Amino acid sequence: MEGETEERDYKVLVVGEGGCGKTSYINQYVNHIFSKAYKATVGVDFALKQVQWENTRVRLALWDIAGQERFNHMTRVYYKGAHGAMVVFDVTKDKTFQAVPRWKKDIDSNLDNIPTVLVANKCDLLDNPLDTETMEKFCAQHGFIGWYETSAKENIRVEDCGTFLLEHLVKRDRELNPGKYTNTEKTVSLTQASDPRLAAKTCNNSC
Amino acid sequence: TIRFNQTKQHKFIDEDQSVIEYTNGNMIAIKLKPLPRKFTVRYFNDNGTVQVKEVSLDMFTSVQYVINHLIHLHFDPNEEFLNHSAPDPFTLFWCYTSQPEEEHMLSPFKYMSDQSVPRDEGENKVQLILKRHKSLYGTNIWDEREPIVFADENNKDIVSATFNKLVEYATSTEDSNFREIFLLCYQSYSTAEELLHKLIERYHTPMDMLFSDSNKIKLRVCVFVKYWLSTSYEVPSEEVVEKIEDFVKNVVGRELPEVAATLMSTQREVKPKFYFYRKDSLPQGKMRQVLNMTLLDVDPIDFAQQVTLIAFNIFKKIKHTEFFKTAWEKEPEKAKNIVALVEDANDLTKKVMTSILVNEKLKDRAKTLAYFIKVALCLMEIRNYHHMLSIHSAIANISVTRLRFTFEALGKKSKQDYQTIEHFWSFDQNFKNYRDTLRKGECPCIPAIPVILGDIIHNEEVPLRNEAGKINYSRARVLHSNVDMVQRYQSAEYPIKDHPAARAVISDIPRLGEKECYALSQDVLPRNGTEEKDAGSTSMGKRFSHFRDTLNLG
Repeated sequence: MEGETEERDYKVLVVGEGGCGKTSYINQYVNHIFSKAYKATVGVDFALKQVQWENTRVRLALWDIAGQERFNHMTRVYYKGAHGAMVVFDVTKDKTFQAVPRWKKDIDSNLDNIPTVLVANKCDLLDNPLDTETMEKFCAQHGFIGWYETSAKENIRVEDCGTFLLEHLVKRDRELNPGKYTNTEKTVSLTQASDPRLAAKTCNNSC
Repeated sequence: TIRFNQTKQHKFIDEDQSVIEYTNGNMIAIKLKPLPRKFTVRYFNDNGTVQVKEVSLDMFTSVQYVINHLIHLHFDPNEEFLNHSAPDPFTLFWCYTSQPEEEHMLSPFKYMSDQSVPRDEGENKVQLILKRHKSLYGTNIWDEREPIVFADENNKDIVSATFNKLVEYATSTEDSNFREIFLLCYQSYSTAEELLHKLIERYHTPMDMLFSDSNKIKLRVCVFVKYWLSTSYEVPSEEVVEKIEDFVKNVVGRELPEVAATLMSTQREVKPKFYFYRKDSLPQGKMRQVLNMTLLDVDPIDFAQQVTLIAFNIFKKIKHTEFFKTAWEKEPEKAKNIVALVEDANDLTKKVMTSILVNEKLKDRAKTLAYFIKVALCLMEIRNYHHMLSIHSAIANISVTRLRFTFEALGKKSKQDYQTIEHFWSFDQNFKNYRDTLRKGECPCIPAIPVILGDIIHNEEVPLRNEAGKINYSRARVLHSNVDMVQRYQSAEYPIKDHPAARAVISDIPRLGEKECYALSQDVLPRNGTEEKDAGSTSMGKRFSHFRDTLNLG
């Protein structure tokens, strides 16, 4: 049929130490806003981003663990079924970088080798860029698919980073489910989306 | 005949001031007329220039009057008439010529003679300094034109407003809820000094206002000040309290002496807010007790209750300030009770994981798992959602969930119960199921702290001011609703009796670290393993066999 599109839902975990900017990163990526005109909506917080990828309509659900970092085990309850992950750290706070391997290990011990990207956030506060060689070595050592220096505040490379991860998600999905890729099975239940059009759409689908 | 006599010293009058006494026949009327005192006055204009003049000042007039006098007669006759709405932009100080940097401020509300301005010490003269300060607090409240933005016609929730308008609203509404939210949060975008300044501006109504209207506003300002002095949200610094008292005594006192007297007697007693709450039903503890009690001898409801009793004692101590500025992340020492409650939950998670994993036989692992599923349900029944979540976290931890044979060995009822727990804590729509339950407002209850912290972090993402520079008021409301919820639950105590034997068993449960738990789990069921081994036969199992003795398991 003409114009037939596939639909995929991916669940992406966004983890990292408290205060490294996870929530603003998600806001910037999904709503293109950094803390302005943002309406606090308690009741919907995993942000949904809809992206067209070749002939596939992809919905990315970003899961924010903000506020739960101190609960050593709690965040992991929600790891189940995630397709990808972002480990965020704050380039101005060494402590948050030191914690990266721990977060990565958490993901690895709970999930089977999901694509994970390292996000060096708040790069607008940095005078010099991070050393590429060191970072690449670090990524290889800890099994990240790549790293991005971003600024949620200035909207620097936030989109690029998302696209990069998405590319890997789709690739891996196709590898794992070569035959299944055409069906529109839902993996994430979407009864209320941050975008009203999405919400309406989901409702039609599930009703 | 009138006689002029110089009198002796008078305690109210400086020695160096001449006093004239009038006598008229038998009637003796005494009028004290102090002669003016000479000062050198330095006037610092806001454009950086300094003017110096020799001025004679009457010491028996208010500082406010002196300032007016100085400005209009000596320094800046073009200045518009001041004091149509106090406080005015000038401040008067005194200092010794030898120590010009040590300036002593003179209260504008008091008389010069009441402020112990010292006498000259020979060549070391007392000087006056008049400063025009740049308007610290922006537009005068009566000149503010930016309106408040409300959600819509029917919903009078404030979306954004300038500080002036918020103070205006606070002193024109009967809405005590607004006052509460305002007082809880105003310090995130202002200071106590600014608030007081704005209240004083508000008190000084424009000249052309009807007396009755003006009086109403003055009273409202006083009501607000009373509320401010007695709120449990803030203990103003001594300096601010002094300024408030100065205002109440010298400004309000002159016009509305009775109101001022009531205000002065307002006692700052930080008493907890009073909440009405129903005592909703709670299952009774079984208080089961046997000799040499082991973990599984403790009835699940007793386990749940004893954990809750300890936790509630931490929970009720949480102060509202612990939720400010994500203190639990940035300055944990300022959020001691939140951190303690988080650690208590983490501790329980470890205990639960450990007691499931150290069992030797699969049958016993399943039995312990089933036991904790029951405890989690009991916690749900007694509405301790905080610890219910920590048991859920333990059972959902990879070290436990990967033991699929243990889960298969669960009875039908336990499997169903576990589904109930998972469903209750589903992340969908930001914990919709949990939130819906919480919304019923049943007491007593310990809400899940991580959910509150998450909400507050999201709220902190909202900037203090919007692009037009107005204060985003929704932010204050969200913070207040969370603080208010916590305070409401804090006021409803659990009617739980202490059960020392059960408590001792619970506190003796060993806790293994994350790594050990995972290793133990790997040992029992290796990767791609087809059956779960008896822990006793594995190396890890042997290593931790003493825990089984402690737990009296297997």
